[in-house]
Amino acid sequence: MPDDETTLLEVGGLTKTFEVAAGASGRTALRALDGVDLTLGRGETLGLVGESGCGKSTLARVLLLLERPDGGHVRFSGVDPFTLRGKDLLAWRRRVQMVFQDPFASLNPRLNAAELIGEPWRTHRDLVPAGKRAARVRELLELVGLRAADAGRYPQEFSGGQRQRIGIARALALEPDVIVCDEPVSALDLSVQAQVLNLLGDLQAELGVSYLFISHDLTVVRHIADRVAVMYLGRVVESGPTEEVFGSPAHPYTAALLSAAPSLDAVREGGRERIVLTGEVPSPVDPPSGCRFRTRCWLAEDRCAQVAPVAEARPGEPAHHAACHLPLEPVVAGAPR
Amino acid sequence: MTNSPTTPPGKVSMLSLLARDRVASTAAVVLVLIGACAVVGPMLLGDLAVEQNLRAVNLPPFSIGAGWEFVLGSDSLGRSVAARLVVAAGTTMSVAVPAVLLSLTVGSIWGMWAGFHRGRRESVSMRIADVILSFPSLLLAVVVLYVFTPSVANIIAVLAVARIPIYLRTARAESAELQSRLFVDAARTFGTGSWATIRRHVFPTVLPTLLTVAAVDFCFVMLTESSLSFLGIGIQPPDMSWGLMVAQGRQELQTAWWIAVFPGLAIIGTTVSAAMLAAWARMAGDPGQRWRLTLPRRGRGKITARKGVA
Amino acid sequence: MTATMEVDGLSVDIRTPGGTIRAVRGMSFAVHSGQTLALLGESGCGKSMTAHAVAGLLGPVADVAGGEVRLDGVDVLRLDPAARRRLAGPGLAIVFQDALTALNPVYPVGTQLAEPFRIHEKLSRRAARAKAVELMERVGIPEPRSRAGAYPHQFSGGMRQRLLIAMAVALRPAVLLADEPTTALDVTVQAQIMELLAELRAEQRMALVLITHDLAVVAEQADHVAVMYAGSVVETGPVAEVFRAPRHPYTRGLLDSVPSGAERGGRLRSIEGSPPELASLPAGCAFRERCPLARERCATERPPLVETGTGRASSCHYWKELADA
Repeated sequence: MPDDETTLLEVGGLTKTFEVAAGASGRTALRALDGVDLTLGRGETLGLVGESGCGKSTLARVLLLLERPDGGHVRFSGVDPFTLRGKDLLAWRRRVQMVFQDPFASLNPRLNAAELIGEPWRTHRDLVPAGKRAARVRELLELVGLRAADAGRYPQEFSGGQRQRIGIARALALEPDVIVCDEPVSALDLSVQAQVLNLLGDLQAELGVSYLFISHDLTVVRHIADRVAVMYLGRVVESGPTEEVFGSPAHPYTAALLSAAPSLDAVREGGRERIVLTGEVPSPVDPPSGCRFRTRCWLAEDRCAQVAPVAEARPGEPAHHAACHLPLEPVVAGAPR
Repeated sequence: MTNSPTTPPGKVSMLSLLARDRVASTAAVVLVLIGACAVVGPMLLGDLAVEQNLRAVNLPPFSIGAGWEFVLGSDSLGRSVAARLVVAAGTTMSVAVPAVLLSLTVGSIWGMWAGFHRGRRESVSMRIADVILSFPSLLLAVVVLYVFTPSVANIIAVLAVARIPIYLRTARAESAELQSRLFVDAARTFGTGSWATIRRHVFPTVLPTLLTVAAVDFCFVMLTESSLSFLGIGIQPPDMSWGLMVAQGRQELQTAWWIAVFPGLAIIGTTVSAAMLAAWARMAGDPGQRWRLTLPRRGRGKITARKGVA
Repeated sequence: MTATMEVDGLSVDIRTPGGTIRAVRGMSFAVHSGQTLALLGESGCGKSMTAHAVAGLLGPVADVAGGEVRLDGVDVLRLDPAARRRLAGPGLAIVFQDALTALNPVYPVGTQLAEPFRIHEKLSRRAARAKAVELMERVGIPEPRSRAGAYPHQFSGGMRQRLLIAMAVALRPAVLLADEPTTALDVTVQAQIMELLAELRAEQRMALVLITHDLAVVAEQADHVAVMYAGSVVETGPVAEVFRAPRHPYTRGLLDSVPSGAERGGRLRSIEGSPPELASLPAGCAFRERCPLARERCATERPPLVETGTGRASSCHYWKELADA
């Protein structure tokens, strides 16, 4: 876990509840975030994994100030962005940017590549002088692996991977410190996905930008993330350095997720034992009491229904936290899973 | 996957695109002609249009020998229908164009704002629109125009107010859908203000729909104006408008059909041309659709079926 | 062993305003009962088009331009529409990716599941309903008797996919086509659905054609794989062999693109560029513009699918270089 000096972004006890219509009887509360704690260091990549409805996209939207949380705090270099107004807020916006999942819907089809990439400067007017914008667009296009000659083309003339490159160039236009990547490669073909992952890695090495990398694809997260946080129904159930979490998961949900994800190793190593969970993720409108995962957990006991477990460091692995009453034993290095 | 089999869009000028489309260019020519009539017609034919000739009452159209001015016949006072048609274009346009533009501007800006912000601003705006729509617009016009004098400015104001809800609802619906789109979210993450986002992302997308609605509404406004004239609170004789001509000619439909039919045709022709041009502009204004206009003419019918290819 | 279904030289044309595009170019594959064949490829490679052509579900703008689809020796493409309809269900069934749109929202699921029995086996309403409940139980839907009256939207994504599978296997088809059956589902649910498909395949001795873009799913579920690129098969063979020692540069490129735990943070060896437009395929080998092995010969001569070993084939002029390396 990054120490105080290198911590760029810190999130504590974040909660967010949405009101959803519940038939004619009125509205009911959907708890999308339920006390989320996270930290992100400078130049670091934090992977955020979880299944649909776990709140990872809501978290991204809160960090981009697209939603206001009900409780908890967000600190960016020690400042709470939700208290900022006017110029300060605009300056903060510049430092956190986002790459969206869908490279089709996130680019306005009526604007060409140059207009799309230069769009942020129409709000942040003094960042790049008007005379230098065309040159900067060409620079950015080349930085993300497109040709400067592509500046006049429209999104629908590009392939999915190229569109995602435009989205990345647009996020880079404001020279941010943090880029929130919301499933940036899940809409792309495998061969193109590898190109975009390489690009993200190169940009981090070159520009020192931090990523919050949201994905449901564990192999991708394992490849790109330094640390990883696993979410389930609005809570972080396990977090820590990627190798510790993936190599020896402490929370049963993480173990099940890792086990369920199909892997090429099936061919390389032959068959393996797999944990197949029963049922599906419960609705966040009516989550289980106590531990959220207990309804699908094969280890659950009575106390799991009564007391919500708090995140605790695993013995010998101070950066590896899991919120479970019955954490799994560490896997001995080298032993098969 | 990409839709650019021919020339890259954006590199063809709008005029040459228009010239490629026979229907749209015809519509444009018709509108330009009507516009020209409206501007110079009253100057050239102003006297001829009111000149009565009691020896040439109710002449049928295409009467040879009565003189060129009676090519479309004459009315019950022996006035040239052709000349009246040209002169009336000026009055009609000076009522319909400002009325449509006014309601288009107010309604669409209001609607985009309401749809973009959602919440209470949206509900209040929509209720106001409902109230206006629930009034029979003709009744509203009658009340207002009886109280105030039936001047051109008042007619425009009444017609504009009555039609604002049409644009308000259309703009609101599209704007509400657009504001949840990802590229609008992206603009928010740059810190773009709401008016700037509306101008940059919502307006260009909504505009083609609004123009199509406006083109059709043009017809409605011209006909309402004629109803008002019929009730005697619209355009007052000796001024003339197409609507008024239809209203006056209606009494003599059985004996002299041409008095009402030609101005009626003028209204229809204008509306259809405007609608055609709006449909063309919708396609030409969208970079994703523009390539279709550059296709050879024959293949165009099949294009809609191209979606859904795996 | 004769194959349950053989596809031989299948071609599909799509009519577009810009001209006719060949989306599937001479596809050939075979699948045996009780086995799984994976059609693996990226978006736009024609794998879904192939499945739709085989199932007789091509849209109005696409036509089969040539080839045969033999089901137990009978070419189904030459059958008249009525005979073809009789075959849908007992002969060949298909499971789609999007389970919500594939079910009719206004009928209870029990009624929809009973439909195949009423049409094909002419069962009474009550008997068909009983069969439907039995089927729901078989695909793992809890409380099938009471849930049969529920509507599709009342089921979760995974349960809807189970219902679709139930509908497809109702008449014990000889061949089941599954078009990206788990793409829309969460990982933990995906594992459940795959397990169900494998069970049903073994139990009913079905031949399963699994259409997917996911290499890992292929690795875990399939016996044989046919890798597709730009409308044709570029490599085929037993999954374990193909993935361990690919004999086409595209297959190798795909395998290299998968991030593996071993080389964390390093660069992935990706394939340059993106798949070609079907409307403007390069002459010769369709892959040559992205291929590290490409030479002059590849630009002029389209490589045929040639046998490279027992049950294996590759369409690369230089496959031997990969095999030797």
